[in-house]
Amino acid sequence: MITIDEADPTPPFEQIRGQLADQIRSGLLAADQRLPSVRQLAVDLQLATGTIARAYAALETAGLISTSRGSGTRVRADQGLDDDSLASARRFVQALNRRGVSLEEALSVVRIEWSRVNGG
Amino acid sequence: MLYLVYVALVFLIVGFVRVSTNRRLAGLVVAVSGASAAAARRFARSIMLRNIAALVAAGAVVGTLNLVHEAHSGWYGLPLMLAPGLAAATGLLVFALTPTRIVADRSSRRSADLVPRRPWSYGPAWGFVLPLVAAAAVITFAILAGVGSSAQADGTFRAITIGTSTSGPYPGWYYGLPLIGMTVLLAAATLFALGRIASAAHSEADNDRYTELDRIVRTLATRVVMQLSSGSLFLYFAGVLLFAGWATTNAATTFAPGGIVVSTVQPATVIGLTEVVAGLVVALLGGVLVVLSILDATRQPLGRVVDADSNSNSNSNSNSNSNSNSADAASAETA
Repeated sequence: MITIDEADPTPPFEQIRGQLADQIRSGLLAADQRLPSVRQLAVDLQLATGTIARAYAALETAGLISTSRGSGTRVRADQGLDDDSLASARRFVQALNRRGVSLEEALSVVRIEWSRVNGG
Repeated sequence: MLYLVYVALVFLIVGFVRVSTNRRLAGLVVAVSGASAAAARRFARSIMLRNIAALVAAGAVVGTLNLVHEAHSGWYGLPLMLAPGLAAATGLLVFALTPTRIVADRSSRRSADLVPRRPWSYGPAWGFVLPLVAAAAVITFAILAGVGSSAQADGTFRAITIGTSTSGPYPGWYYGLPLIGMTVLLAAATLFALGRIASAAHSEADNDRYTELDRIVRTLATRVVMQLSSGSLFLYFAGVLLFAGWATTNAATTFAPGGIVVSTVQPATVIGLTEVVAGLVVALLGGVLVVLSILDATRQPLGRVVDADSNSNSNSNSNSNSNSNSADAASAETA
């Protein structure tokens, strides 16, 4: 399931791309899983087909999905994070949840730590 | 007399099928919140109007073709033979082209399922294989009958000749070619209708609440389409088999004055009788499917909306397929 929010300043194309990318990397969308057609998503979300097509094209460029005439749009293999990484993320989220840290605060901390570790 | 027996048998089988599938149909129950009941009722009304419009259009085609048949006796019953298929194709097109959708309050947040909806997503595999097999059988038989047919004095291939005896009407090329075209048209209309059912927009606004209702409506619509297309295919295939059987049997039989059988040509007589028996069975199957499709199409998909209390009572009495789990839910039942 993906959701778009008109009140969100993020463009609909980016909302779709981001949610699909998250679900692929977290393993919610399995390798080789077939995604809905551009038209199906467009009518369900009441968006232009071009918006969905742009999100799919960006995901394809990022190597997360592949599109072919015969088999439609599918999640590419080996795009999800490994089990250890997912387990670490889960433990991290559970720990911050217990301390009442919000998602926004957690993401800020992750960004800072990421920069520090990578020498940014 | 034969017609009355046919009608009685059709309704007997329909009754048996309805009783045996009652549990499964009772499983097509959906719960929506009390606040959504008005939108659900509007949706149900639009579904009923669409289905009735499709049936009226199909009935109008049958009536028109009957008038054409009466006005053009020189067409040798061709309009009547095409009537079931053309009526079904017209009904399917009206069915497919009429938009239906639950429209509640438009929300700024909209969701979409990531499971692809395909034309065959809402029915059992055999339901799609059956009309394909029937269509292949109709086309194969039409070609075989065309090859075996002979021309009448006016040059039309609508008779069969065995030895020196000629009999008709026989489903030769005169009937066979329109029949093949009709089958292709019906297959296309069926595919189009199934595609429209699958690709129609998911119900607007509160997706969590309407997802199950949406699936049930698509499942019921697919049932109607498959029953109608298979039923009409079987009906005109039955007509073709019966005419072929009678003509073949007559051409293969030599009668003495007074209608006494003098001799028969084998295996033509056996083939003719087999076609007659097969035609009767197929006619029964077609009639049953068409009646079932009319019953499903005219059934209110959300026929009853009850309060939360009686909903929980009725659900406890019915089967466990009901997915009513909301304390303040009202249930909209398809049965």
